[in-house]
Amino acid sequence: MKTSERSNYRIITVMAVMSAAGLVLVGQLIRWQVLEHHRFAQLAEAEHQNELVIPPHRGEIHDRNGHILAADVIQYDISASPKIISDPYATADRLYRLLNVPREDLLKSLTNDSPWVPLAKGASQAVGETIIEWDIVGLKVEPRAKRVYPEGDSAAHLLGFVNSNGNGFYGVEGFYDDMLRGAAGLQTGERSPFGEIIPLGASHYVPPVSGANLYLTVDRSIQHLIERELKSAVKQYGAQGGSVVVLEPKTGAILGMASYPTYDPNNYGASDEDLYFDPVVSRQYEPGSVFKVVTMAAGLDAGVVGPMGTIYDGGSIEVGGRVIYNWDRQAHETVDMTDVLAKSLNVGIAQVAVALGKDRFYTYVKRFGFGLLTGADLSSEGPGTLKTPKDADWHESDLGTNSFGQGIAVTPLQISLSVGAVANNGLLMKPHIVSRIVDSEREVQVEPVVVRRAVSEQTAKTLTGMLVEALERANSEAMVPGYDVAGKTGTAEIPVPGGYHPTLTLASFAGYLPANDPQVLVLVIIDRPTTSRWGNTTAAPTFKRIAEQLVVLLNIPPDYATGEVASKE
Amino acid sequence: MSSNILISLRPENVIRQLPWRVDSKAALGLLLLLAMFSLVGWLYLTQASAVTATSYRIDALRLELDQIKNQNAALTLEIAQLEALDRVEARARELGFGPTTDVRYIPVADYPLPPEPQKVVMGGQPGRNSFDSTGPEFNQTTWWTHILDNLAGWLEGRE
Repeated sequence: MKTSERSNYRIITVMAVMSAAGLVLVGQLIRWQVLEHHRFAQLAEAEHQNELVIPPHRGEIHDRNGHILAADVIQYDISASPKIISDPYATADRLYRLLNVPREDLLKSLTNDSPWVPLAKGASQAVGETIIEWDIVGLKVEPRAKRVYPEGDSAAHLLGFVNSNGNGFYGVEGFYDDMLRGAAGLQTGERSPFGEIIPLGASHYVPPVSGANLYLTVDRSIQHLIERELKSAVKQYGAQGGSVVVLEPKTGAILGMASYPTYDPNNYGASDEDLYFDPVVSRQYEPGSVFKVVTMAAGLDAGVVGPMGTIYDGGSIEVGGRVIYNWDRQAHETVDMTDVLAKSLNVGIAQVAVALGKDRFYTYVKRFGFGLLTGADLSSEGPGTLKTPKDADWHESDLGTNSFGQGIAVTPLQISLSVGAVANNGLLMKPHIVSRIVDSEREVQVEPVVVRRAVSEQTAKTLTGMLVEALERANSEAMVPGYDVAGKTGTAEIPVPGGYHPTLTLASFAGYLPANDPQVLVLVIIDRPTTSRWGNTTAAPTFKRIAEQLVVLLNIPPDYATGEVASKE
Repeated sequence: MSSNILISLRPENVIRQLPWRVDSKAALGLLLLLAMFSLVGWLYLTQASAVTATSYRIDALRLELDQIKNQNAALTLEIAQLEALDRVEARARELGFGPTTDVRYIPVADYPLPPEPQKVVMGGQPGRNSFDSTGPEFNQTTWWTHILDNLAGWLEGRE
C-alpha cells in the first residue's frame, strides 16, 4: 500500500472511531435529555423543591365564664447535623447551660459521625427562641405544640386529653377533635442547601387555619366544688370511688361532671388506661331505687295510680315466678304512693309496674331515654342495657325487678336526665357540654334541644310534689334548709357472677331544687361505701353539702324567707 | 507564494486586515447595544434582589409574628395556671379565708318582684292526679270506670 493510501486509511479509521464515539455521546444525551427527561426533572425537583407543612394551632377550651381549661403551648425539639456545624466546641459551650445537659454529652453528640442527632425534646419557648436567634448553621429548632390543662386534674374526664401527635381522645377533646384540630398550612418552593425555602422562584404559601375555640356549659367553680366534695365523701365513707353530675334540667346543660378516682391529662401516660373512660357516660350500673321515680312517673301518667291512691304492702310480691321483698323485709300494710317513695318500697312500686303492664312500662322506660344514647357531645358514650319483652332473654320477673332499678343497666347521665325530665315539666332534654363554638369566621351558639315529652306536665308537677313530700316524711339527710328539694335515694346491689354481692352497694341520690322552679339537678353516686351501704346516709348528705354551696354559687334564693323583713327605704 | 505571505505580514497590511477592525459607526452601535443589554440586566438583577430581600423579610416577619403569638399564648396560659382554683383556694386559705356557710337572705318589704312562676298545687282539686284523699283506689276496675267516666264527660262537653 502506498503511503498516501495508508495515510488516508488511518485518517478514515480515526474519523470513524471519533464519529462512533460522538454518536454514542449524542445518543446518551438524547436518552438523558429527551427520553428520560421527565424522570430526571422529577429527581431534580425532589432535590431542590421543598414542601413544608405548617401545623395549625389547636383550638382552646374555655368554661362558661371564659376561663381556659385547655390550650396549646409551643415547645421546641432541638437537633443538630454534626457534619455541618463548623465549631462544635463553641456550640457546645453556648448550648449546654441553656439545655441543662452535661457539656461532655453535648460535645459527644456534636462530634458524632451521624448525619443527624437529637439534642433536646420539649425545650421551653424561651430556650427555642434564643437558639433561633443565634442562627447557628447545623442546628435545627422545630416547634411542637403541647396541650396544657391549667386546672390540673380538674374536669379530666369531661375534657379528655391530646396525645403527642395532636390527636384528641375521650371527652370533649375526642368528640370535637376535628373541629379543634384546624387545618394545616403548606409552604412550597425551592430550598437552599440548608433546607430553607428560597423566596425567589416558584413558591406557594397556604396559611394554616386555627382550630375552633369551644366554650363549655361547665362552670369551673361548680366543677371544683363537686370534685372536692366527691373526693371528701369517698374518703369519709370508705368508698372505692364515685361520680357527681350537675345539670340544668330546663336546658340539659351540664354545669359540672366529676368522677373519682381521676387522672391528670397533663400526664395521662402515667395513669392506668381504665381511668380515661368517663364513668358518667361510659360506665353502666344498676340504678336501684332512684329508678322508682321513672316507674312512678309512668304509673301517674298512665293513670294507673294517683298520688294519694293506696296499696296493700304485705311484705312481698311474686312477679313472673320471682318473689320480691322490701329492702327491710318488712310488711308496711296500707300505704299511699308518696309513702312508696318515702319508704322506698319495692313491693309497692312493683305493683305499679304490674298495673302498667309490660308494654306500657317499657314504653315509658324508653320515653325516658333508657337503652339509647343520650346524644351528649362527649366521646365514648354507652347506651346502657335494657331488656324488653321483645328480647329473647327477657323474663316476666324482669317487670317486677326493673321497676325498682334492678336488672337494668343505665349510665349516670341517663338517670340524671330522666329525673331531669320530671323537673322540667315532663320534657326530656338532650344533654350538651358545649355552649358556643367560635372560629375565625363565625360564632355558633348551641341551643337546648327537647328530645321528647316523657310524661305530661301535670304528671311531672304532681310527682315533684310527691318527691318533696317523700323526703320530708323520711326526714331525709338530703334536705336543704330553706329550700324545697325533690329527690330520691337509691341503694343498688352490685351484680356478681351468680347473683348479687351480699354487702357491697352503689349508693346514690338524685335531686333537684327549688322544687317549684328547678334550677339545678344533682346526682351523687358513691361506689361501694363501707361505713354504711345506704344511699340515705352516704349519697344524700353529700348531695346536701353540694346543694348548700351550689345555691350560693348560682345565686338561688331560698323558697322560704329567713331572718327579719327589711324595709326598702 | 512566499512573497505574498511576506506582504500580508507587513504591519500596515496586518492592521488593515485584522478581522476585528470595524467601521466606527458599527462599533458605536455595538457599544449602544451592549449598554442597553447591561441596563436591562442591571434592572432585572436589582428587581430580583429586591424581591428576594423582601421575601426573606416577609419570612422573617412571619416568623416574628408567630413567635409573638406563641409568646402571647404562653402568657395567657401562665395566667390561667396562676388563676387555677386549686392554687387560688390554697392561697386564700393561707391568708385566712374560708368557705362561706352562713348565708343570710333578708327579704325587703314592697320590693318590686318579677311575677312568681306557677307553683305545684298541693292538695285541693279532685282529679286523676291530685292529692285528694278521695282519689281512685288502686284497683283495675276502678281505673277503667274512671277512664270511661272521663271519656263520657268529655263527649258530653262537661269540664
